[in-house]
Amino acid sequence: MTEPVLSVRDLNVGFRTSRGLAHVVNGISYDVQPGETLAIVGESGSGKSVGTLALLGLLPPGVAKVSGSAVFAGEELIGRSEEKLRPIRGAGIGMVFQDPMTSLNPVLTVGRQIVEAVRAHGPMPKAAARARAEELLAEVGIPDPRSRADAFPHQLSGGMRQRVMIAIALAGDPKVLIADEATTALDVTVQAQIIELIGRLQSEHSTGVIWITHDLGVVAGIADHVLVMYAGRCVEEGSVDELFDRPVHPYTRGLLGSMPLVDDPRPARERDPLSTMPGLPPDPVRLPPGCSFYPRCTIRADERCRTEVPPLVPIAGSSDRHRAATFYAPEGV
Amino acid sequence: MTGDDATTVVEPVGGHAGGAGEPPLVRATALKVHFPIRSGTPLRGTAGHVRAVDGVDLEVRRGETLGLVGESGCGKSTLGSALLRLVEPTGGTVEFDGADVTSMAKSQLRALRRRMAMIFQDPYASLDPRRTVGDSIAEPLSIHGLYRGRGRRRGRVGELMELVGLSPDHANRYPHEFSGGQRQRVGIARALAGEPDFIVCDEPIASLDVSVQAQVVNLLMRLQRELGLTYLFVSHDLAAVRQVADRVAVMYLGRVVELGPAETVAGSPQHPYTEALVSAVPVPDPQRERERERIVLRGDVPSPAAPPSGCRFRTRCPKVFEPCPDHDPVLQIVGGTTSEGSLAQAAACHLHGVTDQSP
Repeated sequence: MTEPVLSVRDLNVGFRTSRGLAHVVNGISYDVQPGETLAIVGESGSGKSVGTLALLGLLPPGVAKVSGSAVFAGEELIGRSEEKLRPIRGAGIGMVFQDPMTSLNPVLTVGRQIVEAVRAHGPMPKAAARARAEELLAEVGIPDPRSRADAFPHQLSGGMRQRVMIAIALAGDPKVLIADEATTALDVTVQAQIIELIGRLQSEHSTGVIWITHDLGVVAGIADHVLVMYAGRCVEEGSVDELFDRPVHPYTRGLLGSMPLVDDPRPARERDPLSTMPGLPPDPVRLPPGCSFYPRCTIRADERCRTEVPPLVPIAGSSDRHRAATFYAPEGV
Repeated sequence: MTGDDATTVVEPVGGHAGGAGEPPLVRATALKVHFPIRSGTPLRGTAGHVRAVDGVDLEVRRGETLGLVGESGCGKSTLGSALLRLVEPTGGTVEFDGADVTSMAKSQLRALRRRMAMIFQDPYASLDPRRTVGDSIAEPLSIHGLYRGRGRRRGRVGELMELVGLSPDHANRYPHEFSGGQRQRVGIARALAGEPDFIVCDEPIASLDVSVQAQVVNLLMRLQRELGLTYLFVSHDLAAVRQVADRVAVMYLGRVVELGPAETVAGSPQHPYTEALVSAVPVPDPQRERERERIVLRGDVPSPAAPPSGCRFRTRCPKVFEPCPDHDPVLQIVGGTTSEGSLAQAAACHLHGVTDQSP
């Protein structure tokens, strides 16, 4: 295996609230390999976004308490000063967020915003930066980049705006690209375009991609390795095939069972109801003492479920990168 | 391909919901909803019209779920609202149980409104934050003069809350005290208060988490069985629509481009747009994802204020050919599924025989 470009170990994020410390990310570890896609899957509040924002020091310093380690290109990111993080943002690790309309400045042309990003990564004459901006727009598949560079964000469609965000993220030629629900606000046909684009750019530049999403369908199509988060913990991880073919954790299994399938040939009235998980995720200020999924779990295999946090351990009969945090060991997975 | 019956008006027959011959509960004919675009200059009037719904014929049969799918801006939500006359149609008619809703006086319409309801995407935005959920659920009861008297009304609110899986003890709480899924249940209880026959569900699960989506989908299906409801299920999510809908209508730029049984529309789409849409829906199975052929459409959806001539999809269609720019295709029966008792599939595409609808 090649050297990972990003290594995260035992990352913890807490938020100070009036009710006490909210444990939002609790001991997450993963590696990102060059040219590979790591998908981080979870529902609202699972900590999937906060965990990556913490790497780049993008959380409010007075409120967030971050510990653990994140090594990018041989350098530790956690605890770095704002000044020393700045060159890594964009040039080392680029980010694309869900909503391009709120990430772009509405009163500046998109060309100007890309130029700004290009020049932030190193001094460059204006004309050269403008040429580079047009090049980037062409690279992300925007037709007629010369005139489109003079457009304001509101003059572009949602898909086009997301392409502009990707162009900005690429301006620094990052080694890791974090796509945080980057296609969630887009229509499926536009989503397909953006997924295709990021895939192409990734293979051309050998970029390591962290794809954060709640959509297991997207994950199945793009990921190499998958990490499932619940209440700030990784409950299961594995190769995309292991995770979808032999899911072990009751939460992963529940999540997969709750998804309607577009290509199930049966008419709606002949289908079984979707499987559901009762209840809601726990309050991060008062996490349960044992497994965080215990209150919603219908299996509750072991007395320890209630009192002990199950460790993330390899699954018997799977590769050693397929691990789950559960005392439940289903037969014949 | 059925090139010869090219100009037939499509009236799909039969199906398990609503017998053949029984009149539909809702029928839209040549329905149009155009919104004026105000020009930037005061007193200059309008600078054109957004043709959100632009000539739609559609029937919703008694007891069925008709899925209405399409992407942002295709007009699906406007169509749903127009069926309830929550927006005024620019042209065409809507009949509800045989009565013309479009020409009805407001007072008559109010009486009919009890039989129609809507469930919205964002229950937080559609519930009054300063009212208890019990009061919100009771509001339709007082508007329609149902369950008069405090005690009876409170009892009915409790029944409705139980029906949607909420504890009646929580009637005095405010919307912010509920989770997203619970708020959507409140929205559903409110929609059920008038004992409607027909409910337009407008993206009812779009803002919920996956595991909560499943709960709400199952709830809607159970309520339909128990109460004999008829649904128009408006959604951008074809996988969710497949889970709930008997038939599906696919919209593109203000028009229905394909219509038929959900399993055949998704399983063997006959319109190139539906084909692209189905192929773009991610499937939670890595093996199948690798094997599937994805049709990636080029370009963006044209402006609904100036749709392309002829077929509206031609600017992005991978199968575009000579007649497309000049002829506006009619929704016609395709695929030889028209025999009595079976369900028909219809598509508006020249590949199935060139047709033209006069403007």
